[in-house]
Amino acid sequence: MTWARTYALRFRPYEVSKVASTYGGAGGYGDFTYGQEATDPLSNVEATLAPAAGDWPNEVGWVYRIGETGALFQAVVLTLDGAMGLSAFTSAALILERASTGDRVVLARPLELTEEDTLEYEWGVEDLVEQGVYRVLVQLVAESGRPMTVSANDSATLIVRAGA
Amino acid sequence: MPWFRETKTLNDPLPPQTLTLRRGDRLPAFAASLEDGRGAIIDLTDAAAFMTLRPLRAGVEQPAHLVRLPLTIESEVGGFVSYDWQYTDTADAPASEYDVIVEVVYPSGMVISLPTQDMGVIVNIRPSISSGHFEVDSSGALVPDGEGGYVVT
Repeated sequence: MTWARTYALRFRPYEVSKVASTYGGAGGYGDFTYGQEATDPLSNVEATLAPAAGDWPNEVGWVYRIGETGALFQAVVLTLDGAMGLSAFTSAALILERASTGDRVVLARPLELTEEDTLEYEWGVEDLVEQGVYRVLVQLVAESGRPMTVSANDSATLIVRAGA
Repeated sequence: MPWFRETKTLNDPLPPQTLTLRRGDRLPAFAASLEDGRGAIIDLTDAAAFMTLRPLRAGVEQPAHLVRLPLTIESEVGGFVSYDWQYTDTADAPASEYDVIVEVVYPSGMVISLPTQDMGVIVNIRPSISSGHFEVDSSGALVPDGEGGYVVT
């Protein structure tokens, strides 16, 4: 009787640069990218979306009221190593889709990528008009044109409550 | 919130590791190390590696374009492979969880398949971010309408 050899695959956080890189910056994921600044990092790390610290930290989450325009939408993209740098991305879009009962409400708005690696949007008067719980998705587009969705597993939600 | 886990002992079964993408996404990439059951790295010197995504959802037929995708060997002695998702890979794939099977073919003709355990590594392709509501371009990005929004289909 012989033993069968078994095999395993393991995902590993690893940043693979698929284009020519220049020396000088710091990689975010270990020895392979240390000292290189990848122009288009091809990260295999799954990311999640989370609220960024705002000016009025009374509640950790995206909670607004109908018609509210004073509070920004702010988010960070989190990976295993912490907040993900957004320098490799050129654009981002916010998509909200109402998940609670009622007519289907879908909204898409462009996000600003800040130097502090946060995503921001200033609500317009016609944005938050329907009460409900919304699924939050962000599409990031890299310099190469590669799109990435965060949070891909629909784990982020936003609440719009009734107004005054 | 780590989405991959290491076993604690050799007797612990490795729970499924899942990579979630939306249809049309090209990031995050697929990258994995190939090991045997004891954790020893599999040498990929002169080898070729291919990945097949087998649908797990009932009623979903095997997409032909997700069979034997050629993997890039990033490190031969490190047993490290990667795959750069193309737009059509995920855009043309039915939404489903997919069981990942990697085949390594050596010049001698020897073939090994990983992982040995079914559903050890899963790629979860979920519906498109556009929700069928917004137009996307050939690379999968939403199309701006020039007025601060995006084109609605």
